[in-house]
Amino acid sequence: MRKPIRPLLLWRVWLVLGLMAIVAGCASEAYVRDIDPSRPGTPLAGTGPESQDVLVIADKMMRSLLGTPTIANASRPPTIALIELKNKSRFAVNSDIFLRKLRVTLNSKAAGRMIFLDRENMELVRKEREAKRAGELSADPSLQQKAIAGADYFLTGNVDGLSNASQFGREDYLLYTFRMVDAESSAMVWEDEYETKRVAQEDAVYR
Amino acid sequence: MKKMLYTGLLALALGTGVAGIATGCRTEGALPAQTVTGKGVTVENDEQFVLLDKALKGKLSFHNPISRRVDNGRLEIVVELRNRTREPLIVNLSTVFRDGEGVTLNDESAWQPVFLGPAQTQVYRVTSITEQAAYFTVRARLQ
Repeated sequence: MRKPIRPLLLWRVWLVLGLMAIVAGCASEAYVRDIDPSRPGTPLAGTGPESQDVLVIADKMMRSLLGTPTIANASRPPTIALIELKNKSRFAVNSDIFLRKLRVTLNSKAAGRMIFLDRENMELVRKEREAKRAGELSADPSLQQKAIAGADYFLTGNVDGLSNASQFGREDYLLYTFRMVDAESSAMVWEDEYETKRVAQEDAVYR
Repeated sequence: MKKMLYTGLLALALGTGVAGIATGCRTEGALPAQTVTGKGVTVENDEQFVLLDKALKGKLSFHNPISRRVDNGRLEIVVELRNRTREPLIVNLSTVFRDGEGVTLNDESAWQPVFLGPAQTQVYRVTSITEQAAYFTVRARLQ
């Protein structure tokens, strides 16, 4: 004959189960945490561009660019306009992040060596200039210029990739190339590269 | 039983009160600035080459380091890295540059991955951003 379950024992079981549920709830909350962007290898990492690549590329290109005679020996800081990076890899990533990070790194760490032109806000600048010259807005005459600054150089680049996949996983080789082009002669005055090759059993989704 | 309960509650109340007073004393008013007694020397600042992970000890070594002035007076560091194991080794390297007084400049290179085959030697090269750099520390960590 089966023994009847005592109510006290049942109550204890429910208490233990409740505590376990609370602990499990806390554990899942703790998973959201800040991590070092210079570190690879989180469980979510894939074979494509990662945050550590953005940091290394910006730093490496900045140091390389500062060493080029065009910048190092310039009598005045050259003006540079960014041209969108061409992404020819299979990864649908925001490729603007590479040039933008490079520009910010140069502006914050090597301020005054070169002047970047904001071509994204050309229309806004044009309207402001017209309003100042029409007397609608106040203006400091000493800061006025005959024309909007032109670019001495264009800074741009490409992301090229080679990919292969099999039943065992996926492999991606990515080549990031950056170049500075003379806006008058189209001569390439500087070029440098960075490459990654990664293999993984499972693919990650990039945005 | 009741006596034990009352004693426990009393102890808890006393403890909370003491903790509250102590916390109040600590947060009241601004703390005095710490007196600077030296250059703020740490273990890392003392060395030109540092292994940040204990696991790298005996696995990675630095050889033939050179520091020289290049274009525009920037400081270039060139050093050979040797994998002392029979396995492939991936390390991250970063360099901190300091001025003539040992103060850290806004010039810390990104953590660059270096791939070393078994017993392989590779060259790590980094150049400072400005000519103010006089001292440096190359740091290595496991990827």
